[in-house]
Amino acid sequence: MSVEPEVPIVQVEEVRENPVLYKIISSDNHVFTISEHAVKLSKTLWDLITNLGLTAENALDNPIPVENVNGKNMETIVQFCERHKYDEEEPEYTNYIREFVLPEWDRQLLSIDNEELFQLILATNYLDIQKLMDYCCRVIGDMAKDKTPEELRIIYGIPTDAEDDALERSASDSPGPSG
Amino acid sequence: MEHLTELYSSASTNGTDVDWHVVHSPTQTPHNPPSSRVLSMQLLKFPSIVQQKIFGFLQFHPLLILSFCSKRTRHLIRCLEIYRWIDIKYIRYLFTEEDSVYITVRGDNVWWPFYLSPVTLEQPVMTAMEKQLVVQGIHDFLYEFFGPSIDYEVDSTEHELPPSLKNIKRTCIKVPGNTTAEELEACFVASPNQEYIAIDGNFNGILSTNSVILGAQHLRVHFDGNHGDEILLRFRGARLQVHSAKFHDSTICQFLKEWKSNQGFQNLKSLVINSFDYKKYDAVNLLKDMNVQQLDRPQDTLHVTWQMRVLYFDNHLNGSTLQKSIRSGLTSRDYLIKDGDGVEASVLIEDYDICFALWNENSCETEYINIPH
Repeated sequence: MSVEPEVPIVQVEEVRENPVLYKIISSDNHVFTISEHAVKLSKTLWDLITNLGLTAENALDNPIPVENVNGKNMETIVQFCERHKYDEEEPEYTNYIREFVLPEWDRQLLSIDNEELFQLILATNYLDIQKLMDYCCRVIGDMAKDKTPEELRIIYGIPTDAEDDALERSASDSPGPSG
Repeated sequence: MEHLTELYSSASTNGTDVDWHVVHSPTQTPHNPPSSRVLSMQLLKFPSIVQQKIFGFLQFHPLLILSFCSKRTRHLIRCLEIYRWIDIKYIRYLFTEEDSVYITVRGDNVWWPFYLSPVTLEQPVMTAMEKQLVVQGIHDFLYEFFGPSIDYEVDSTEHELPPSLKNIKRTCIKVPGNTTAEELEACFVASPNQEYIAIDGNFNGILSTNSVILGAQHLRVHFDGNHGDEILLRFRGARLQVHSAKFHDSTICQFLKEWKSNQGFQNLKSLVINSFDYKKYDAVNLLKDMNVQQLDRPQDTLHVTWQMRVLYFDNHLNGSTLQKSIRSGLTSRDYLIKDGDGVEASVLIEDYDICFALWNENSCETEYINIPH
């Protein structure tokens, strides 16, 4: 695949301090460069890199195609991973309710519209980036604070029982593949 | 009130026109009404692993409100978050003079309080029927949500009688003044077979004929008056405690004789009567025809103990764990033997107190008493 990076995300200081870089190609053919420490935050990508046997010598010559994630989301993801690549590992959660303060930088990064956030979460889930998933889900959970059922129905796009029933009826009434 | 966050819930009100608030008191956050211009976050379209993670960031209260939204959300939350409910021991409905209903969801590590409050300005006070409908609706919802494995309790102050709710296991009522036996009985219509009932407040001791209250497994009543006799003689449960009320000697004798001759009180495991200063009982006179036995060795006495149910409470002495019973007991050398099956029961009659407890249904421990020579 021959592609040119439209929005290359390369942290200059990263290149200085850590020469091991990997290339990732998004579903819409954007190419991103990401450091080894950052890419390790994605279990999916790191497993792929390990399984492909990519090394410091051949990494940049073998871009990794990620067909489930578009360039816009990949850009956010790479930014996030580079930002948090040296974070200490999260301690095991012992309580059911996950409590932490969402850093301002991350809150800004995730201040995107609902559709973008939805797609980002699907991408994050696919790439298995635990910390970003926590942050995204925290943002969505915060939307429910101090809301009425009617407000939540709008915020979360929840159909009423009647709408669900109607949808179910129309699905069962519609002819199948052979009908 | 002003520090509280109020959330309106029209759900589960079973057709009543009354508006009620579901209220809780977490840290207040700015109210951000949803903008219709913004596309919804399609919560139900996420993979369940993502939904579970999102719910993991929600406290009980927003989860409950979310579950009001539709059957789908209720089902989803119940399925994905069931591990969070495992710790829950009970839900209690407390009815107070403020015309609000305080609901507590409690486990050893869970304490989720909220309350329902009427908010219709034109009609600030709810009728009993309206309250019954609203509370029953919420209770039905919570029962469906949490299931039958936890205990549901009702507690009330002397302001008014609580409505009758289904699937209640324990009830504590402080009876308002001038309450009739029928009105009190109506509180138990929907849950007639309860594990524990406590009747207190301005109770006059008068109960309906065949009252379900007298069928509670554990019954504690507190009243001043003379109607203790009827309560004792008609009690059908396992453990009875009566405080303050007076008993006729003939009633105590009738009880002991009927039990001894196997003619009544087959379910009874323990009885505690404490008439305080109202009446002293003469043990010699009451037990004279009962063929009372005594332990063989004069230096021995028997300590009989049992667990008497109560509403759940926080036992701070025991590492702040929740308990639903407290230890009661008696110490005596005297006992009776039932005719026929030979079942033994310790009996203690002393000053204002009468205690009776079976040996085989309770915990018995022989204690050594130091007899002065």
